Amino acid sequence: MKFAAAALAAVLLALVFACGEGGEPLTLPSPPDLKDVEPAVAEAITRDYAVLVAEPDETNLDRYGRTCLAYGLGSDAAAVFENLITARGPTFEREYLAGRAYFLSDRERARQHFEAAWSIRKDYPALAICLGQIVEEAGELDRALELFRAADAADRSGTVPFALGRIAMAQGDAELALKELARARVLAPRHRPLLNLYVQALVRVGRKDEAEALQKELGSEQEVGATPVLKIVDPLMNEVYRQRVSFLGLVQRAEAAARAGAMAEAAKLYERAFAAKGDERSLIRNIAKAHHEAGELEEASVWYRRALEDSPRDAGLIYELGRIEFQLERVPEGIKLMNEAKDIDPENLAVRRLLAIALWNRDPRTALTHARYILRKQPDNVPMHLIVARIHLEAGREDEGRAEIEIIRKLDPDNEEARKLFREYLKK
Amino acid sequence: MILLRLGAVAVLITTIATTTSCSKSGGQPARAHAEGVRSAGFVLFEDDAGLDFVHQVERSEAFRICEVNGAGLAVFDADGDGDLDLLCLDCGRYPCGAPNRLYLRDANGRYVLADGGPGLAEPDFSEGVALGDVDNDGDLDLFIANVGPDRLLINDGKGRFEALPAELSGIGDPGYSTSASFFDYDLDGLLDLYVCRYVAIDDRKTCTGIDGRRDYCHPAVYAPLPDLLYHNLGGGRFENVSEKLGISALASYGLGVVCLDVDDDGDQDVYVANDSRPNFLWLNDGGRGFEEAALVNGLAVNGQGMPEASMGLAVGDVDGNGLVDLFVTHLRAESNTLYLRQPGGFVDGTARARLSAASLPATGFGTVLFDMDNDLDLDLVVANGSVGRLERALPGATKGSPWEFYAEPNHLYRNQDGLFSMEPELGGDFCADVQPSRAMVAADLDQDGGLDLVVGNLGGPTRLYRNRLPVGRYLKFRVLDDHGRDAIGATVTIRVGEGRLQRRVAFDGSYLAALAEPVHFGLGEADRADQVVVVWPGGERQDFGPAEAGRVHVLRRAQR
Repeated sequence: MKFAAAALAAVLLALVFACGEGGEPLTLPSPPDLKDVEPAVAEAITRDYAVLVAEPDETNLDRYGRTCLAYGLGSDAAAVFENLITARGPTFEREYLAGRAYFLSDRERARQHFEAAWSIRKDYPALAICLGQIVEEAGELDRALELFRAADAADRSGTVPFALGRIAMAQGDAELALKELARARVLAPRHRPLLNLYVQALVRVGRKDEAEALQKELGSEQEVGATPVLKIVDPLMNEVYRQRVSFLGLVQRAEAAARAGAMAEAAKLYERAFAAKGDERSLIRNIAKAHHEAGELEEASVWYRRALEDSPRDAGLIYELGRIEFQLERVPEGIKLMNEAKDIDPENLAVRRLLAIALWNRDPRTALTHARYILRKQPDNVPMHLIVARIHLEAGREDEGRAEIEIIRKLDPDNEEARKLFREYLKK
Repeated sequence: MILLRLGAVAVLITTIATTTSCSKSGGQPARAHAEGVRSAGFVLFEDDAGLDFVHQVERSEAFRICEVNGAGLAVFDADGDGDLDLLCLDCGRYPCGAPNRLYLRDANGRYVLADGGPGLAEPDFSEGVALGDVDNDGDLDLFIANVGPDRLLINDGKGRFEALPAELSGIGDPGYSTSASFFDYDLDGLLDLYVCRYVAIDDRKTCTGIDGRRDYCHPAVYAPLPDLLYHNLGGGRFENVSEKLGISALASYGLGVVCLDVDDDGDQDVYVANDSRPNFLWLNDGGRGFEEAALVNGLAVNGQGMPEASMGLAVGDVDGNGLVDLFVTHLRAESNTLYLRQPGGFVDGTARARLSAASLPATGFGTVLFDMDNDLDLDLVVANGSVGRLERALPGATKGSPWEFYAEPNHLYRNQDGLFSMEPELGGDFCADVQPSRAMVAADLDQDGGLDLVVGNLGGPTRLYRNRLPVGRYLKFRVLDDHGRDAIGATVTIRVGEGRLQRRVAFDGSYLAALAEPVHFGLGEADRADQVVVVWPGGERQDFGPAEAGRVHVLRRAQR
């Protein structure tokens, strides 16, 4: 999809669209600023934006928002979910995802959305933990305690007792901190940040020897980038993020392999990326093309057919599939596909060229029609003149055949095919 | 520095003026401040002040980590004329470097580029600076922390500096040094030196941001370096005692350092801000050795148990409990951290002080706790700037600059009863400017009693912001030991009515920076301090009685 076209379409759509459900109009978001965004990311976002512009509905808007969130375009994602909240009303998912979109950039707005989500549903532990973290950062430790406790029963990661322990430390209750941290330690025995606080808590309650022993056991090395939030259950964000990390890397590697001409490798990588993010249908064409260029024709045929499921009237796709069928010597299937492509796109010269070649000895009349069509557009097309000449000569129309050969000799005096054809004619 | 989503961009690898050779070419004129309404609060005035320094650093295709860390500055009276001069460190092209620049303040308040002597003319890839009178001759000497051999520069008293050869001084470590601090760890009357060191640069390491673009590596990619401790033997000679006294037992990624008495035993301890690793607290055992004890004292990691990318340090009693607190700046997505000292040790009081969420969107470097409005409590400023390419350039960033995508606005927080609120309007130009800021100090440049700000920017101009806030009364102290030298390590406590305020005598702190000016106290409405008490290094206490507002008092240690 061309992003510029999508942007133009966005403008033409007058920035507002209805969603077909009789609801409030949704606003088409401004085109994302992708000037300095990694190409693969830009492509993914552009594609979803283009889909949204082409089919502006709630589903596509939501999908676009999730894509922005997955790729770290927090403000774009937030705008989408806020748009949905305004036009369609607040739902738990919209408020939660809007909160997550703001989580790194704007804690205040993140909190507003999390609070709204909390007012809708209080049984989503990840929300309680995220909101608890923001509230804790704001220094509202009692409220943070309330939120973390709400997630306590569902938490199997140690996150909640860890939070309760650190808040107790901040509140100066080292005994309680030690108790909570000990509980967390059972669930996350190797989590270094937790153990760091555990050492401090031991010191504060006067168990210095234990603290020193533990510190010695732990050593001075600390895990870089360890997250203070342990692995919490968050199906919504998992779904959003699952697509991203492996997908992007694989697409990038596939593109690099393709640029280096390693098409079989590229095809494998594209297939893995597709497996990582099954709804990225645009990858299917890349997979098919990579297989095709790698000479893996059966695989290419399978993937082109999958691509056709999404775009059954895409003449380009049908043409590529037809080419493969010809290469696999499944000529009738190839002809059938080329005729389909021709019906969709009668002016497609590549399609007509293959039809002329495929049909010259099967259906000379039709082949002649296609060849003549091409020659009207491309009078200097030597291969088509050759086909016309051959058809005429085979049909006994010697004058027409000789005339075509003369044309070829003028256009391309050294054309070996024409000479050969002329010799065959003379022998007869 | 954890590089989150921070790709770098080939098209922005635009080299700058001094990058094509190892020449000693000078700096470029400072860019004029953008047209527009000038704000109140801290108002840009380097154009009026004649300061034309622009930090030079090449963004090489190797993406060496030293390129993004910036360079330091020092504010001190270099030539002994009583006003505050300015030393701007420079980087240039690695490893060639660039000369550092000394600007002397003239009688009209303008900063004039001076011949700082042969010691400053040498091109170095300089990062940090420490100030101290190492030869007890009454003027301030310099330690320049370089990526490459460090230098000890001796002041002739008139603002001309000469480098002592490494063979003579014992100082000249060729590694990657960052911040440093002079302090007298063994109380022998001679200033010793602590030097933070960072990484072993390795051009074979290449990294990308998560968007796949080449960018600066996380320091963990490189080998960490142990810090250095030098013992001053007198006569300009120093002995490396790092191994002997235990400092070299641990290696990390040191970026910031302050020396202060954390355990109240009368000697100076050392607190080190380490990038992405637990911070160090080296407890001084009376000069006999140092033991690392940050974790058990609550200073190694934040309240979530996490080591952070620590960079800048500020020291001061923010909650008025008579105990000195520590503030540490960090990366974007990590909050800066305020360690509040309580009787049992330090606790992370960032959230309680309302300092957590506000700092998440920015990467903090230089930081100062200072009484910006002379209302008795300590306010806070943080100089921000990313270490990895941001997804988008922020509004106000200098278009076309190689560091456009690293620029962030600075933060100013007002302290009200131990709770901080971000006040960009009070910050004025300081907060409105969007630069990749690094080093910073707060100093009363124009000696009007209000502390001004000096900020060094990565690949950009060093900026001066005049304090135009309505300020209360103040007083200052020059605190001298029995050698007549600034009594680094002493603390000054004043009583104003029922309240007590404490400041330390120190030239260190912030990030890669040094400041030597009289100890400053805001007095609010009071016209005097009712009592002034100094606790000298070693623990001896001296009462100086009351002191009038609006002037600089000299407090001399009684002869022992």
